[in-house]
This record gives sequence, C-alpha cells and structure tokens, in this order.
Amino acid sequence: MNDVKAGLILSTLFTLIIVLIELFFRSKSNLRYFFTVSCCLYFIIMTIGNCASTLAAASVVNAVIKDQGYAGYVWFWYSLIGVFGFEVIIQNINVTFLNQGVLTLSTWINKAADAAAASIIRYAADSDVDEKQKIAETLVKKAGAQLQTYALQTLGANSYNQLATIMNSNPGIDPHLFLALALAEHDPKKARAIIKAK
Amino acid sequence: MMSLIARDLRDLLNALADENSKQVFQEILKSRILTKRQLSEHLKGIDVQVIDKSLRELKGVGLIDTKPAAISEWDKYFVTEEGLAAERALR
Repeated sequence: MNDVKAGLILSTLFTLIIVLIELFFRSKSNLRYFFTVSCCLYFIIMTIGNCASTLAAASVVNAVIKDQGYAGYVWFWYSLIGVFGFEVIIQNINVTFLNQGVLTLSTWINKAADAAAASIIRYAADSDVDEKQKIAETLVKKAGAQLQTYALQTLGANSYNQLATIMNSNPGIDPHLFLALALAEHDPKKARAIIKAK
Repeated sequence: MMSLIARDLRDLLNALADENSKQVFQEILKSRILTKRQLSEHLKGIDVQVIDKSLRELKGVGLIDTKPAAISEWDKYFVTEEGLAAERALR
C-alpha cells in the first residue's frame, strides 16, 4: 500500500473519532442512537474534507521532508497535517457571492453537525419513550397488586405522595400504568429486575 | 428567504425574551431530553401551568419538540436542530 492510501485510511479513522466525540458532546446521548442518516451525512462531509486536505498535505509533506531523504511513517504526517489543516480551513474560509458573504464553511459544517446531533436526540427520545412504555406495560402485567409497594420503595414516600395527589386529582389516569411508568422512568434497571424476578 | 430567516429569528428572540421560557429552554438544553415531570422537579420555583405555557411557546417557534408518552407527565421534551443553533447563538 502506498503512503497516500495509508494516509487517507488514517484520516478516515481520525474523522470517525472526531465526529463521534463532536456528536457525543452535542447530543449528550448514548452511542447506540448514533445510527441515523444525518449522522452518516455529517461523517461523509467531514471525511471528504479531511481526505481532500490530506491529499493537499501529502504534496506539502513530500516537498518538505520526503524529498530530503526522510524514510519514516510519512503517511502519518499526511493524515495528521491533513486533518488538523481541515480544521484551520473550516475556521477561515468564507463563501462569497457578488462580494456578499453567503455562508462561512464553519457555518455549513455547524449546520450539518446540528442536524446530526438533533437526529440523535430525536431518535433517543423516541426510543426512550417506547422502551419505558414497554417496561411499564410489562410491569403492570407482572407485578400486579405489588406494584404500589415496589413504587413506594423505589420512589420514596415524598415522590409517591406527589404522584398519589396527581392520580387522585385526575380520575381518568390508570393508577397502575401511572405508577409503572413512574417506576420505569425513575429506575429502569430496577423495573427490569422486578420483571425478571416475576 | 432572508425575510423568512429574519422573521424566524425575531420569533426565537421573542420566545426567549420571557424569563420563564428562557429558564425552561436552558433546563432542557442542559440534558437535551427531559420529561415534563423532571422539568417541574428541576424548576420548583415556577408554576406547572407557566412551564406548560413556556413549553408550548418554545415548541411553537421550533426550539424544542416533544415525544408524547402514555401519560403526559412523562412526555419527553427535547432540543431540536434550531434549539442547538440557538444555544450556540446565546453563548
């Protein structure tokens, strides 16, 4: 494998790490929610940018060190300078049309990152509601009459009393489902443990 | 298109001009996703109806969205793409 190909592969790996860290901090969500179309798009955009700047870095590195007889891991420098060079490019390149600033490159990249992070957050919220709903429904079926005891133990007297007040003031609420949802939201691990034990 | 962006921006700024809405938005921003119940626990000083009104306003301008649960106490409120952009603008 030649040095440029190795540099491009390493740049793709660097991009993957950078994108994961970036999206983790923006979305504050678990990695399992990262498989969305917007995330893939953001990764592709960043990979293209980083690979392009890696190719540009290769010619610079060749001119500076390789032609002087350096025989080390030159592909590593292609990649390192390329990836960090792209960060500099992002911060400094402005797109203009008829002398009017349209958008800076960093604005475009931020928009793509926001879209990716928002898709993760939405996916996490959707999955979480569905998951807790399933836990609560199973809990209602399995725990039966003991549900109130489990809820009181898990939530504590204060929270339980607050929930009891809400249930009493809303006769339409199914008390079992309400407590099961409270339990699933408050401590999903314990809720799963109760289900497993039954 | 520019006027549309300006109008949206004005709506966003108006929504966040209200101190309660701003507090609610900042609380959701911290965790990215919160249930209505968690919100009322975190914002004990604010009345539940005021929180509801703020949530409706923030949702109306697109800063947050919601995933309804079987019981509204556990509806999930989460930050949208516009919300994340607004967070950066507020910094």
